[in-house]
Amino acid sequence: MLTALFAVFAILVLGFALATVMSRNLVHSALFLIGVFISVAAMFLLLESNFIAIAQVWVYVGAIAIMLVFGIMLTRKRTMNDSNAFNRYKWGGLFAGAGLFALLCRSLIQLPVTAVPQPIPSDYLTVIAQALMHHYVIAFELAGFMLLVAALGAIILGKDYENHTEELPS
Amino acid sequence: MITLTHYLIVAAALFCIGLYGVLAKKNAIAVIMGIEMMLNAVNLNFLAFNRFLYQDVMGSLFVLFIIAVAAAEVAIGLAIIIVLSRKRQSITVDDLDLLKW
Repeated sequence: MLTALFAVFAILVLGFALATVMSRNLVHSALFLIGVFISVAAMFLLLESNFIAIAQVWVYVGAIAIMLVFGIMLTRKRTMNDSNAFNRYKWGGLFAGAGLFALLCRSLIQLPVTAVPQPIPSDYLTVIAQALMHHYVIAFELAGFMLLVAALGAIILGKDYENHTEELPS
Repeated sequence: MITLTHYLIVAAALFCIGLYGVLAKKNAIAVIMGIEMMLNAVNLNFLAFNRFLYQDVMGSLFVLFIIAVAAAEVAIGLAIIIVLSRKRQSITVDDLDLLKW
């Protein structure tokens, strides 16, 4: 059962990822990318990481994909046809990607397969919360601060100060 | 029986597809999509290693921080791309040669 689910979601992940890269239309690429995110969240569920799967759907599908679609709309030219073309490295990039995959597979198949799934702590969410709020509270707060600074920076960058010079912060 | 190797191979394939998108795409937003796919592959690796080799939640914590960094990175990247499309009327990465001598 789990094997079949894993096979289905592995095929979905890789199929959506290939469709994202190969699509000639950038809006279609964004839709396929949402498929990649949801399928990866399903693989997180197969790895018994329920909280991370929910966070993946919230952040990636809810925020990042929507931001990408907004970016596509704000930067589009007249038509979306052929908006996602390859550059002159189409075959060189394919060679680099396939070569790296071959190298990784060559070393991965030599891994010992004796690793068995470890028992998940029954209070999985409590353990995460305690780690974040106790041991790693500085890193956690810094991550929040980094998100704040990034949001402010994005607003400053995106605001059109050329045409509103009187609003420049002094 | 699904082992660690299966997850790692799926993650490696996703990473390489994302790398292909980063290397071979003209549109800067498509390049950001490739980077997101690569980050997702790394998250999958972290969770697989955590599930199979490590009896703790360290992998989940790493993934949480990576998700936060990815969100910030997309926000800043898209803001830069929107400014570029406003200033230079093009978001083709080949045209972004401001730093070229």
